[in-house]
Amino acid sequence: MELPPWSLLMHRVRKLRIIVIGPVLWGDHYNRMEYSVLDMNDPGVLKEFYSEHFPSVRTYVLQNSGSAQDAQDVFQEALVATWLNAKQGKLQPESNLGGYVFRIAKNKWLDRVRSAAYKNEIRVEVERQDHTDNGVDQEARIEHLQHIYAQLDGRCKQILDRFYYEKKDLATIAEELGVDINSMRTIKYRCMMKLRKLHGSKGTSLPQKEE
Amino acid sequence: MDQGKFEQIESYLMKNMAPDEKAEFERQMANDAELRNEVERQRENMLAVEFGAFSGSVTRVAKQYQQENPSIGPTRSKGHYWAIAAGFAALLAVTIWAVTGSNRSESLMAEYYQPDLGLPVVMGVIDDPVFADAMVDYKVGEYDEAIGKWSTISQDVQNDTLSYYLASAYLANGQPIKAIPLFKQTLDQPGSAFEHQAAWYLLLSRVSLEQWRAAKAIYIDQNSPYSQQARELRAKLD
Repeated sequence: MELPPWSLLMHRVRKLRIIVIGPVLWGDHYNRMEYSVLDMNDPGVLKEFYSEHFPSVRTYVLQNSGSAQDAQDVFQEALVATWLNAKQGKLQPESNLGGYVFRIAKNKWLDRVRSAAYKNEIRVEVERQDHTDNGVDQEARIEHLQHIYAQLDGRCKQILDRFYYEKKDLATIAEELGVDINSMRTIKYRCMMKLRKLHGSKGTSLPQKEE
Repeated sequence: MDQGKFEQIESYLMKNMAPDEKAEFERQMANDAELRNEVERQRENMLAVEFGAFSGSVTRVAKQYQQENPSIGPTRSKGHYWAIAAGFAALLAVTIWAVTGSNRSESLMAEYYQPDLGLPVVMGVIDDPVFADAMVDYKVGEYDEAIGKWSTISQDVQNDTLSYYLASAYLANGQPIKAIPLFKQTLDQPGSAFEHQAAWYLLLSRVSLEQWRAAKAIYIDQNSPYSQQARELRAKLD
């Protein structure tokens, strides 16, 4: 993703401001505002978050019969689950994001350890601590969204990602891809109609949202 | 849906409408159920795009992190050349997957998947007439009908027979995403008579979605009548 150079800088300034001024204004709650999930649409912020919070998940998984690869898997799953919860308004704005992601990753790992695949291999006395994610419903919903996205061809992904995720305007995308803006508008429309057709077809009906 | 209507809904969802335009659009929605459905459908598709893009971004950042921190990455570094070789192997695997992934899933399903035959529908075997009626639908391949009837029962009754056959109907109907949580629910019931079947069809549901890693992680008991098939199938996933 191409980002304005000031994007990461602004995040760091905001973070620094919170760290410096936060304790004075909000006492113990200041560190809860270090990250917003949607800041993570910026790969620079996402990378910073990853570097800061992955090591604790890795340590936890390694201490509980897992491998570094397991740690990476559950951390990535926890990140996308957190992002989805935030988009659906299920995440409190003041949530401590690092702690939240850690709890989801931990729960996912505990679920995996207890799964039948592991029963004959290891014995670990574990108990799920809380229900930060939404279990089966959340998994089904993630699979559903992944399934829809997977139906798009590379060209459509390229255009739709830039428009809906990176929030670039159509003129910019048209210029980047060497297409005139009217053609780009039509291509985007056709790509979305492919999804509409898929969404309405048998076999891909939506898991119900938990609003 | 024409392009103009699509762009109007998009403008609403992206909060690009002027206040009076937005108010007028919301008035239309209040009186038009079809428009409301279209808005929800488009909202979901836009979310799927954003979600897919974010997932891709997470994967890229994870790889970058791993490259920059080889000592704590998922593969213990045994040297630069091994890392390069692993990179080429991964690239080759991804390329093969991209070319053959869908065909592979379809051919494996064609080879291994046979819908569960269902329960005998005779007096005394099934007491609930609605359940029995749905079982007849299921056995003649009317899966939508069976799903509709079993779903109404499932709001009141939770048992492994119902969850298993509802899951089986979804899978037979080409809806593995809906089948998966129900097969898991069946497996979560201690001592279920459908334990072996549920595990096997859960594995097949994962295969049909091309979720190879998740498919391989599903435990099939060695006493399961499907253990031999599962071993064969797993070997083909490697």
